[in-house]
Order: sequence, then structure tokens, then C-alpha cells
Amino acid sequence: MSDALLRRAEELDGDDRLAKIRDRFALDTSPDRPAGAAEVYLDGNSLGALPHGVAARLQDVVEREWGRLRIRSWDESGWWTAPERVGDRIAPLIGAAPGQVVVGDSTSVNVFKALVAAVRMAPDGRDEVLVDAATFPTDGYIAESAARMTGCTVRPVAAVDMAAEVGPRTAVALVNHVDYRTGRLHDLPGTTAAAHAAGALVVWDLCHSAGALPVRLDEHGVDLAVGCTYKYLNGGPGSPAYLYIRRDLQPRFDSPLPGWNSHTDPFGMRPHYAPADGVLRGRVGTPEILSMLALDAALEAWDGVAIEDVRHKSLALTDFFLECVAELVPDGLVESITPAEHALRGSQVSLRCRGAGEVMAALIERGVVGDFRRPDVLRFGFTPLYTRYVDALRAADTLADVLR
Amino acid sequence: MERGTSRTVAEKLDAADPLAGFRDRFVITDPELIYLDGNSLGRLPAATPDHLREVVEGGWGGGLVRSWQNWIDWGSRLGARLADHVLGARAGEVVVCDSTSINLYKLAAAALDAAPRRSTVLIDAEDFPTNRYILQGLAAQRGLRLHQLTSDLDDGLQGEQLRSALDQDVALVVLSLVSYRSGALLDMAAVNELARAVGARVLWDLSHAAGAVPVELAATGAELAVGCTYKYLNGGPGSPAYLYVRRELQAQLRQPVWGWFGQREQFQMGAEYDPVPSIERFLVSTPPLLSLAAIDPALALVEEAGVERIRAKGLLLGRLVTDLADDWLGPLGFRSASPHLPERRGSHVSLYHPDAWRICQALATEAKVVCDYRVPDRLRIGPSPLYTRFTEVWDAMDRLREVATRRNYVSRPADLTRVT
Repeated sequence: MSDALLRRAEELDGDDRLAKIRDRFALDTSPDRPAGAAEVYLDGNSLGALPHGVAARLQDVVEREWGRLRIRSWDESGWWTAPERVGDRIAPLIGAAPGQVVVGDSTSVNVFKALVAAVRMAPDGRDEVLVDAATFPTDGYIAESAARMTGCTVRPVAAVDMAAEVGPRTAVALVNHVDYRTGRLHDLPGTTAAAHAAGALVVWDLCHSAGALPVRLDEHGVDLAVGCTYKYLNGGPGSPAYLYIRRDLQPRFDSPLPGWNSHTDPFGMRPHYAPADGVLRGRVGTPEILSMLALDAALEAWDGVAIEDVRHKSLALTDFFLECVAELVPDGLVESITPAEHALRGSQVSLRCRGAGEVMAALIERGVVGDFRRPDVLRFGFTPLYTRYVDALRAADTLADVLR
Repeated sequence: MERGTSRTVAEKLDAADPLAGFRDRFVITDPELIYLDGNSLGRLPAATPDHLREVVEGGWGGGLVRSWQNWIDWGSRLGARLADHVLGARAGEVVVCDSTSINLYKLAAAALDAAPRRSTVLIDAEDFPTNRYILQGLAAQRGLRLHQLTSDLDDGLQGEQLRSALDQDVALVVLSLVSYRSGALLDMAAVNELARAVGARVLWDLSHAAGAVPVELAATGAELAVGCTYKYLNGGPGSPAYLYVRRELQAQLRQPVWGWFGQREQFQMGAEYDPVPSIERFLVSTPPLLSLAAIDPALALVEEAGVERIRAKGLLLGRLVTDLADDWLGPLGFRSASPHLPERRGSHVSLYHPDAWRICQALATEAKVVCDYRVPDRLRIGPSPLYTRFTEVWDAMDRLREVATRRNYVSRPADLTRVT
């Protein structure tokens, strides 16, 4: 390892305004690892680390709210309203005013709700769903099924061409804000404006951007958005996803999943479905309370954190990692497929490399955890709340070792 | 069982109860409080907090993303245990995932897709609302006729009613095995047979049955079922639901929410949806793992006790409720709102009273008896055989008698709270 790089890393860590936030997470706790050999975890874009407050909160939810109050907690502990309440807690992170985000179900189920509802809201005669051609597969599958159900056809289009391809037949476009493989950040304002100019709606998938960079849904007039909460939001394994429905669209949001939790009077047991007002018409069945309240507690890690600081650190971390890789890894062994340009970069670095699967296994063996995406991509996620510059350096250094 | 209204009858039943020891396997923080609402949210099993702590601190905190190697098939593993011990299904026929409403939607849509020439869906107008709303939505979207049978509010759907509504145009029948309001238990084998005779499929909602009454999905020829895990299965608030698809039918059906957890070689990230042939084709996406994890220790208790023994005790508990209600409560304005024979009920009993809501509130706050209210005027009494004692039922009915006699409840507000 170069001494100069190490000094730089330590300097950058010393100047890092978010450095103390790392203490909010349960890292460096593995009992079978000697002190000082803490793992470098660069897979928070797959499963975020555990915030300290979660275990105690979950214990309280389980032992007091469930164990002692039991059924009363649906009212008294606010379980019934948790989907909207936790939604309002996520809202500022994605640039949404209160009352437009609801939490519950998986990302896939929410993509399904959003796409079907979008087609139902689109002007008559539109029969085409555009989907980001390089999308995380579940979005593509869901788009197919939503299109099939609504009598539309799916047309895959590269996310960068989406603005140009939206046309008079387009009902809705489904676009990833950040590409899961390459880490490329797509143009949310421009694509949204182009879709609106063509009379179409847009559904944004924020899985790889929320919590990593500023998202401004209200400002850019986004129609609908979905995202998961277990990556940069650290909500825990499979924590429930969220759905954003822009306020003025809510009265027209016609869910394909009209479960009783979205009814205007769920306990009235009324004969006919009548959707509630507001964003809670995005709900379906009984919310998964333990997972949802673990997420609620996890979101406390964001208290006092400015998303602009997160973005600043994210870019600096990924810049520094790329610089370390360039200096330490022999030429020609890896190639970055993540854009160098800041405006086009999310919060990960993806490197193409031969034998990427074995290389990642070797990295994990040496305590550097990223992940492998077929066929040949090493993915390193940088989570500014708890990733340090020394971690970026050690990851690059270990990669160089493995490749030599 | 000895007929009588003396408390000694209940005491003797407790003394002879082979499941009595299971009560200690649950967290009971206030022994004075009688909880007869396990049909809505089951009690917390004593082993659950430690199990969850291990999943959070060891699995999530320690193992981080690597723990998915272990977690990825928990929905299938829990499903296999439910199939074997609770639902009378075969291996590979049950998986735990999503909410009951979503599972109902998936299976109903799959069944309707597979019967394109039929245009009627039969439901019970008195079924739990989400079942009706989901089917209303599907019927409207597909231009199908939704035939809503009006079952007896107290006695449930009658076989003759169903028989006369079934014809060659019926694609799907959606019914709850145990009614959420009256507790009426249907004859699964008979209903399946009636439907099969006209080529219709039945989709069962087992939410109020599973863990309380023996369910024989395989033996009765059932094809489709869903249900929740937070009532008699004690999985915790909003714990994930399950779905069942008969093995022979799985490859023919395609659920409509095509997510990556149903995909062949899921991590190959193939562009075209190509579902696995097995029960996992009905999965959609990443399960809410902490909520899912809580099912594990809860299910272990049901497995250990055995549903046959749970049912045997449930029948006795139910009979004690109705015996005491018959003897004590008639003059106080109550009448039974459930089938009379214990064998025709699930584990809960409903009582009609014009002031059921206020009595329910008074019972909870003045007499420490928690049961629940269901519109329009029903009090649901839900003993849960794994932790409810016979003397608790006796005491609860005694306190109910007292609350109804004192009539203090008349000063309580008649407005319903948000969650009932």
C-alpha cells in the first residue's frame, strides 16, 4: 500500500463531516475477527448495515407492544398508521412533502401497483409501456405482467434514450434512477419533463439512489416512484418498500390490489370497495409490523444528516476509490463501467474484470465485501453514512493483491 | 364433558388438559387479564424475542449480506412445515410470502387466467372484506360476473345455497373455511366436491382456521388456499401470509405479479420472465425477513402440540363458552351468533348483543377481558387452545355477565375507534 495514499485517506477521514455517523452502526462487531481487522463492507447497496438503535426498538415492539399490549397496539402503539408515518419519515430523503409516501409490501409489488395505476390514469388510447432496457430484472418482469394485464405492450428502451423515445402511444415509462449494474445515474428531471410533454406518466425506481444522493420528486413533478429500504436506508433484510404517489394524482390512483387496508372504512366491513383518500390507497393488506418498525428505528440514523453532505462524500469516496484502483491495480486488469462524470454517477463503482466471480470470492475471504453481478462485474457500494476513505483504500489495495 | 355452570367444571378441565403446559411457553405479563382475542392477534411466544435478537444482531449485524445464503429459502422452509403440520398439504405445496390479500389476488388471477371460457366468480357477501374487494377488483377488470352469495350471518354458508349457484360458467369460488364473524366452519371436502362436479376451482382462505382446526388440503382435493399466520399461529403483527397450490396444478398456473423470486436461476438476471416449475413460482420478491423470522418459534409450538390436540381442546373451550352463554346471558340480551354445534365452528364463538361495541369496551377496561367487536353487533370470543385456560373462559364469561348486569357500559361512547 502506498504511504501517500494512506495519508490521503486518513486526511480525508479526518475532514469528513459525516465521520461520526459511523458510530450509529453496529460495525466491527464480529466476534471471530481480531480488533483492527474489521471488515470493509462495500455491499450496503445490497443490504445496509445495522443501526444501533434497531435491536432495542425491535425488542420494545416485540416485548411491550406485542407481548404486553397485544391487540391494543394497533391503536395505541400506532401500528395501524405506521405505513403512512414511516412514509412521511422517508419523504424528506426523496424530496417529497408529507402525505405522498406509503410503506409496505415489496418493491416488486409496488412497481406492479404503480404501473397498473399509471396505465389506468394515462390518456385513452395509449397502449405502450416503456421500460429501462438494462433494468434490474424484476422491474422488467413486472412491467411485462402489468402490461399484459392492462392490454399494453412493453418496449424496452435504454434509459438514456427514454426522453427521446416517449411518444404518443406511451402510457408510462418505468426508469431506474441509478442502474444497478453500472451505477450510472439517469436524468430524472429531463426524462420526467419529456414524458410529460408527450402526455405520458413516469414511474421512477429509486432503489439505488434514495439515501445515496438527493432525489427531488416534488420539484421535478414526478408522478409515481417506488424504492426499497434495505440498501442505503438500512431498514434491514427485506424491509418493506415504499410507494410515492404525487398528491394531485392520488384521487385517480386506482390500485390493482384493492385490499382492505386501502378502504375508506376498513373496519366497517362494507360490501363494496371504496378507496380511502390520500396516499393510503396504496396500501393492501395488514402491514408487516416488525419489519416496518425496524425500518422506522433504522431511519433515526439519518437524524441531522444533510443529503447534500451524503452526496458530496459519496462522490469523493468513489473518486478516491477509482484513484486508488488506478494507482494500485496493474493496468488492463480492470475496467470501470461506472461513469467518471459526477453528474452521471450514483454511489457505487462497478469494475469489469476476468473471473470476477472468483475475484469477489477472494476479496470476501480477505475481508472486503462487495458483490458480483454476472457475467463479469465487481460491484462496490459506497454508503457515506458508514464507509471511510481508509475502507476505500483497503478495498483497492486488496483487489490489487488478489489480481496480482 | 360434564354439563354445568360451576367453576369446578372448568377447574377439572384445566387439570385434565394435556396442553396446559404450553401456556408457559407464551409471555403472560398480567395473569389477571384474560385474552380472548388470539383469533385476531396471537400472543407472543416466549422464544420469539431471543430468536429475533439473534436474527438482528447475528444475522443482519454480524453476517450482513452473506446471511442471505441462509435466509433466501426461509419462506419455502416455513411453508413446508406449515404444509406438514398445519395444513395437511404435501411437500412443495405451500410457501410463506406477502400478505393474505396479495396472495389471494395472485391465486385468484392465476385461476381465472386458466379458465378463460368461464365468466362467473362466486364469493360470499359476508366474507372478510378484503376477499370481496380483491375479487370485485379482478371481476371488474376482466368483465366477469361476481355472484355474491348471501350466507347466514350466524350459521354460515349452506351447502344447498352453494350447490344451486354452481354451474358450468363458474370459474372460481372463494370462501373462508372459518367465517371471521360467526366462526362457522365449512365442510372443505364437500365444497371441493361440489365445485369439482362443475369444473370450478375453489380458493380457500384459511386465516381463521389454520392452527385451530385440522385442515386437510391434500386429502380433500383442495386446489388453492391462502391464509395469515398472526392469529392461531402466533407469528406476530402482520407476519407474512402463506399460499398453497396443489402440486398437479402448479405448472399450469401463472400468478400475475411477475417478480424475480419466482424466476428460474434468479441471480442470472435473465431478461425474460421464466418462472420455476415449483411452488416458488408464486413468489414475487424479497420477504420482510424480520416479520418472517418471528413465525419460526411460533410454529414450533403448534407443531409440538399438534393440531389434533389443539382442536380437541378448542371444541371443549367453545362448548364451555356456549354452555355458559346459554345459561347466563340470554336474559341479558345476548344470543348466540354462531353455529350451535361445536363441530361446525372454528375456535371462536360470536354473541349478538345490540350494545356489543360498548360491552366490548367495558369488558376490556373494567373487567380485564379482551375479546373483540365486529360490526354490526357481534362480540367475538376467541379462546386460543395453546394458552387459554378453561378457568379463564369461565371467569371471562362471569365477568361478562357482571358487566352486562351492571349496565355501566351505557355511559360509554358509542363511536367506534379507528381500529376495531
